[in-house]
Amino acid sequence: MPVDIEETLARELREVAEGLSIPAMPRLPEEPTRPTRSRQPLLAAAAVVAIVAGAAGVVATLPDSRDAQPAGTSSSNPTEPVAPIPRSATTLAHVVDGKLYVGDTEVAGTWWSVRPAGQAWIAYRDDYTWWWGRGPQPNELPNGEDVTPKISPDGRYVAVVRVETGEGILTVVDTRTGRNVDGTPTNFGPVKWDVGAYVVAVTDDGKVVIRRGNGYLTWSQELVADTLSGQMVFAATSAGLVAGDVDGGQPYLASISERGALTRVGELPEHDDLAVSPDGAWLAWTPIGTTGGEVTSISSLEVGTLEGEQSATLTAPDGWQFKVRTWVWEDDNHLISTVTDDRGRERMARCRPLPAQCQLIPID
Amino acid sequence: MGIVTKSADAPTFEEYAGSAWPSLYRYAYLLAGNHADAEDIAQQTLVKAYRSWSRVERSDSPAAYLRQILTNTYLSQRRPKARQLELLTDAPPEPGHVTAAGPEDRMALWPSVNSLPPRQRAVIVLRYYEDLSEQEIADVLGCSRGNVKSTAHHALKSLRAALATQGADASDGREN
Repeated sequence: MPVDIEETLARELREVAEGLSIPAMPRLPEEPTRPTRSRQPLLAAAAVVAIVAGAAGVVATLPDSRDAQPAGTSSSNPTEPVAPIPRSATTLAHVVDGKLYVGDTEVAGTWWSVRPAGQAWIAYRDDYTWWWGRGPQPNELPNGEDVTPKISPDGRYVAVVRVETGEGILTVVDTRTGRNVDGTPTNFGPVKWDVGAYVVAVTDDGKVVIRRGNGYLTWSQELVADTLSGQMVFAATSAGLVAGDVDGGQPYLASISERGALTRVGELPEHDDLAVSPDGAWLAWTPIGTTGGEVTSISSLEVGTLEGEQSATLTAPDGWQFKVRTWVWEDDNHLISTVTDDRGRERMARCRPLPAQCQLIPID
Repeated sequence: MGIVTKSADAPTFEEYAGSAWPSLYRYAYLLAGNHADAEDIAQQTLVKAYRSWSRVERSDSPAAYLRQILTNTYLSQRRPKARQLELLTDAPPEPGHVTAAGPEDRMALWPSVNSLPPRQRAVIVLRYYEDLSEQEIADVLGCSRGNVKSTAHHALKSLRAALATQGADASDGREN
């Protein structure tokens, strides 16, 4: 029997809402606070109503103009005062001049690159070994030739495939416990030496997409073989998987089922490199043909909302260029990147999309 | 308790918040899909409304103003589903373990609404629960009507696809 989707939606949403058990309202502030745009009073107000620490942190970093503005106005309203870009050092793991920093701590060794995600990171050392961390303590991943681990957007999982005596071995690490996820390492069978196998994406709920030759496998507690037909997966982001069709066309965002089937959930611009903010609202990308091959730095990045209502171009600070594939969203409103000058020196820069602006992060 | 109020017959913030809390919470739950995030979002909304109470009070519709704050709060956060999994489980999630089994799980569309991207989900809840027009949704989200239309289109397409998959799975089950 055909389902009227709109009628069913209205009915089910009403039933869910009406079936809820409503908790008691939280305690309200004891004293009125004066309207202000600074961060500290809001933190204090949040503390008074005993909001959990994580939520208070989110509140504290939100720009007021977005939170409580009249309908139809934009956070880019030029008459609104704009808060300066924070000048504090980033707490995200980053590499500058071959040194890996996690918070205030330098991790021993010389490092090629790092990929932070949430509170965790994976990094590549100059001895061609991969490591992961949640804090400054590095932990070695299964290593080997052509090993390329991936980290989930929220940093909970790291997945890596290593080929041993012609067989593919998948390991998934839970960075919160430091242990391998149950069921891994797991052997997923023969891998021909000339095609290889590697992880292309691991999602926040622990699904792993593996490329083997021309095909894909999905692991989620158990292995599902040959999951994608006519589609390709490139990466996992907080807004979904970055996917595309084998026969070309625009890339798109997709969700993936337990059986490894993709469902298209949104559109994406054509790009070479893409980063998505933690809330899935903002994209930063390089246009197609700009950062492939031997390109190591670029002067500007495109940014825009996922839904496409707002966009801008971020230009690196004067005299500097963004080092390719080092940019990452620090939070929902700021992006950080290693930048390099024409003498090869490196610094960190912080940018915001609206109004588009980048500045070097001062060195302590 | 010190309360921000303009006149004797206007409701105090506390009075207003008390009457608005159930509907705020219900709306937050439909967006977040779980109690912990719903409570967080609704609480944050009240804190923000408190800070802007003079503006909220003066607006044509305080309820609409709070709905907008709540929607922006939800959309500004890290995806609640991911946070829910991180907070509530030590083991890796298993298929079907995202929500507890109950009447909600037997619904045809609600489980699929849970897996929509945040903005699509907000449009669906505003349209089919809050019963807002496309223009009103555009006002809440600060975008164009066309954008609301296309977001709703993508969301409904995903939900139809999910329904079709459920139908196919049910057929498979019968055949087996």
